[in-house]
Amino acid sequence: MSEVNPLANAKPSGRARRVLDMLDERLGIKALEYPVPEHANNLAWSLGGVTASALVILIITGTILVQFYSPVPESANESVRHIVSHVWGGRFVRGLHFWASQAMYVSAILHMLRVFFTGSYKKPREANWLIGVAMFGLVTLGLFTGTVLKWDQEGFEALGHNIELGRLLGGAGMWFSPQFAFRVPILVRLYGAHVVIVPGLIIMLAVLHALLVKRHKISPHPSLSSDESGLQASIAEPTAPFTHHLRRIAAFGMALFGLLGILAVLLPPEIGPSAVAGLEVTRPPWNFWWVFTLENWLGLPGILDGELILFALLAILPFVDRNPNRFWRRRPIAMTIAIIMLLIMAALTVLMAVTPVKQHLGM
Amino acid sequence: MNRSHRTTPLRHLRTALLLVLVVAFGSSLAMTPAWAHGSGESKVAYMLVQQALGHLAHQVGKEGVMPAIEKIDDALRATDQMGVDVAELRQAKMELMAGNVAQGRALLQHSIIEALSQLPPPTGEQTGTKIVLDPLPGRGNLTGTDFAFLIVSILMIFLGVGLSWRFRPTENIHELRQKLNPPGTRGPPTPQAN
Repeated sequence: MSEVNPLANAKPSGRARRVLDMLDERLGIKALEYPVPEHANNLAWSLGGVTASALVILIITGTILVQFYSPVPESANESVRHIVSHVWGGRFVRGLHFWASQAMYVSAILHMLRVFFTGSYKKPREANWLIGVAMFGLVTLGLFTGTVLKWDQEGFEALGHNIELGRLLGGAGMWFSPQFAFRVPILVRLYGAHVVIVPGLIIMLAVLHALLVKRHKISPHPSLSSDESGLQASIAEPTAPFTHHLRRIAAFGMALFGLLGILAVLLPPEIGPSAVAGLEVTRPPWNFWWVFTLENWLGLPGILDGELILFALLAILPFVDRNPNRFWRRRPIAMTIAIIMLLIMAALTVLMAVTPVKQHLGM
Repeated sequence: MNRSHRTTPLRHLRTALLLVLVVAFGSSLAMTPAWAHGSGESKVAYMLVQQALGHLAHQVGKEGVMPAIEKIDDALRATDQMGVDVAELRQAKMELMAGNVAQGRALLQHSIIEALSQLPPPTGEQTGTKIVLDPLPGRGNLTGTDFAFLIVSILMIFLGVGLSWRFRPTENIHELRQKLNPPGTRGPPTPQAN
C-alpha cells in the first residue's frame, strides 16, 4: 500500500532500540508513530512545526532572560541594558529571543497562508483553524507584551496605545486599565502575561491543535487525488510515521536556530531611550504598522477596527467558504478576497514605513 | 435528508458571526475618535523637563534641541514647579540655544533631582524613570564570544539542513502528482459537495 524512504523508515538498532522500547513500555511513545501522508513532510506543510520550534527557542531563551530581568518600572530598562552589557552571552540570548519572536510571527503567518491556499481549514477541520487563529492572536499579544517589557520609549508608547484601546473597549478592556489593580505597576501585570498567561495558553492550544491534527489526520494535498470522501489523503499515497515528521521538523528547527543565531550576533535588537510619559516619538514594531496607518487616518478606533475585522474574517472563513474544492484554481472568490486583503495590509505597512511619526498628543 | 434542513444550524452560526462582526465594528465606529495618551499637556514642570530630555535622547544633535526648548519653555510657565530648580532650567535652555547639547542635558537632568527624589514608587502606568538614558545600540565590534556564537550558529544551519535533506520524503509533490493523479490531468478530480 505505501512506499516509504528506506532511510526515513530505518529503525534504531541495538541499545537505542532497547532504550526506546523501555520508554515506550512506560510512556507509550509509540502512539506518536501514527501514519501521515508523505506530502506532509515537505517544508510548506511543516511550517506549523517550524512555528513550534520558534516557540521552543523562545521558551528556553525566555527562561534565561527572566533570571536577570527586573519587571518593575524603576529598573526594567536598566536591567535589559545590564543583560546585554554585563551578563555573559546576554546580548546573544536576548537577540535570539527577539529574532525567535519574529520567526514565530512570520512562520505562523506562512503556516496560516499555507492552510488557506491548500484549503486545509475546510470541513472537518474548522475547529482547528479557529484554534490556529486564537494562537496567532496570542503570538501577537506576546509580541506586544515583549515590546513593552523592555520599558524604553517604544515600549511605553505601545503600552499607552493599549491602555487607550482598553478604555475604548470599556468593561471588556478593563484588564488593560491601570485602575484594574492601581497599586501594582501595569508593567508587572504585563510581565505576568508575557511569561505565564500568553505562553501557557499558546502551549495549551498547541496541544489541542496537535490532538485535532491527529484526530482529523493531515489534510489532503489539493493537487493530489484524495480519498472518496475528499476529506483525507488518498490511501494510495505513501505514508511515514508521525515521528519521522517530528524528526524532520527538529532538523528544520536546528537550521532555524542557526539562522536566528547569526541574526542575534550580527543584528541584535537595540534598546531605546528611557521611557518618558507624554511623548510620542517612536514607530511601533513593523508587525503592527498596518494598523497604525489606520490609526493615523481614523484615530485609535482604527487600530481596534483593523484588528477586529482581520480576526473576524479569519474566524468566519471556514463557515462562509463552503466551496468543497481545495485546489486554488477552483476557488476564485476566496483567492481574490485573500489577495486583496494581503495587498491592503502590505500597502498599509509600506505607508507606515514612509510616513513620519505622527504626533497624536493634544489632538 | 432535506439539504436546507441540514444546513440550518450552520447558517445560524454564520449569521450570528456576521452579526457580531457588524455590531462590534459599528459600535467602535460610533466611539469618539481617541488618540493615544489622551489630550492636553502636562502642567507639571518636572514631567515637561523629562519630555525635553526625551526629545534630546531621541533626536541626536540639533534636531532634538528645538522641541526640547519648547518643552523647557512650557516647564518655565508650568503652574506646578515643585522640586524643580528653575535657575538651572534657565541655564540649561541657554546652553542648548548656544549649541552645548551635552551640557544642557546634564543641567536639565540635574534641575529635577529634587522633584524625582520626592516621588513615591511608581504604580499603574507611571514610568519610574529617574534618568533619561540614551538608546543602547544593538552591537559594537564583534568580540571573540560573538565569533564563537557565529560559528556555532553556522554549524547548526549545516546540521539542520543536512538532517532535513537526509530525512526528506522519498517522493516530492511533482512525483506524487504523477503517481496519484489520473493521467493527463493538472489537478485532482473535482470533489462532490458534502
